[in-house]
Amino acid sequence: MLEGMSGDLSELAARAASAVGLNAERTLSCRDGNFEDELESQYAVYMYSCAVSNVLKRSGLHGDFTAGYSMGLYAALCHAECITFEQGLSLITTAYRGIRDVAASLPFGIGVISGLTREEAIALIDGNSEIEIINVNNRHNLHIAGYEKNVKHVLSRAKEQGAINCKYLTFHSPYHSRFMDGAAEKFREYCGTLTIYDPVYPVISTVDRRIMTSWRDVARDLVDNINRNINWLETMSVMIDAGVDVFVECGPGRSLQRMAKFIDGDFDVYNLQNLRLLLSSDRVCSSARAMNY
Amino acid sequence: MAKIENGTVEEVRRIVYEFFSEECEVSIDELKDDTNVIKDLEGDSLMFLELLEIFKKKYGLNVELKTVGKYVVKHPAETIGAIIGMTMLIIEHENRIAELE
Repeated sequence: MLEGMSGDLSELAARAASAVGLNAERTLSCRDGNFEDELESQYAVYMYSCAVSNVLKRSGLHGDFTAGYSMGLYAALCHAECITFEQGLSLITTAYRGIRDVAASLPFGIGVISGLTREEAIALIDGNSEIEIINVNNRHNLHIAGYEKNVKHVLSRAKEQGAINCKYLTFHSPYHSRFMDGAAEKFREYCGTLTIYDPVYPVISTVDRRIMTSWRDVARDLVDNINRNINWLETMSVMIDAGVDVFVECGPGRSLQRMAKFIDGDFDVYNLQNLRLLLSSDRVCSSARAMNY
Repeated sequence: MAKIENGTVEEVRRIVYEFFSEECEVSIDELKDDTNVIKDLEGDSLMFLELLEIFKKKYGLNVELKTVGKYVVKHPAETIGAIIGMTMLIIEHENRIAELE
């Protein structure tokens, strides 16, 4: 762990305890990330990401862009200083409850398909409007969502078509799909009560790959992130095409780093475990390095 | 159909062991042929896809992912030993692996 990271986490956990009643001691002691409560899990990932963001900023590492994977949007917006840490917690809480309320009433499901392209998955779905590709992670991996029976049917067909792996996920809220339209409307009302600031780094929308530079863009994207499909492959590609050759994954683990192995381009992905390598390399021009000279 | 040369099996074995050791952050000495990639190493299908890409590039293999996927459905490979065995079949038969029983 990099210098100060544990202090950041403790401080953020204390702030989360105050803001949303998080059990800071329990959350911080859950080292394996296997939280029983989905909301607590989202808080933990958000706190971790914000702590890494603090480390990056303290190191003088300034990004050209930022983007948030799924619910990572809130941490990305906090990093870009559009929202405060506490506002992020509040947005997570509101989104989670709205989505849960809608999802609880119907038998939804989410599945992941590995080994088929988006086009092959579209062919499998074959115009069935009851199911959506909610995220394309890379050229071989995507998420689908819809009613449970439809999701299971498509997963079964994907396996027959040669998908290396198909998995029905244990959480049932179909994020990023039109099934969340009702939740998105309530979330829009809530977002309208917040003061959102212009981002200090351009933020790439995972919904439509817009480069967002104003608070209005951000406010719209917050809502779109609830009920519109996202595409991480294209989001990364926009940044790669713009010349980005270094990415830092701020969330725990290295799932984005691993997903990126199936995204074309000449780039490297760092995370907290190997961030020191990046900071001590000549690939970054940061104030921290400059001060050392 | 690719020709299996002397030393290919050893080379494949070394690459597979080194790959899982690095990806799963486990000492190579702790890995065995009967190590279950999913249960023991918490590995996943992306790792398998990555390994396949490595071998496609290394040996210039003409094999489609979907063909391998159809073979995997019939012959699941969950241990390191089984993955080495399947890799050898892919190298040897490429797209014709689908014709194997």
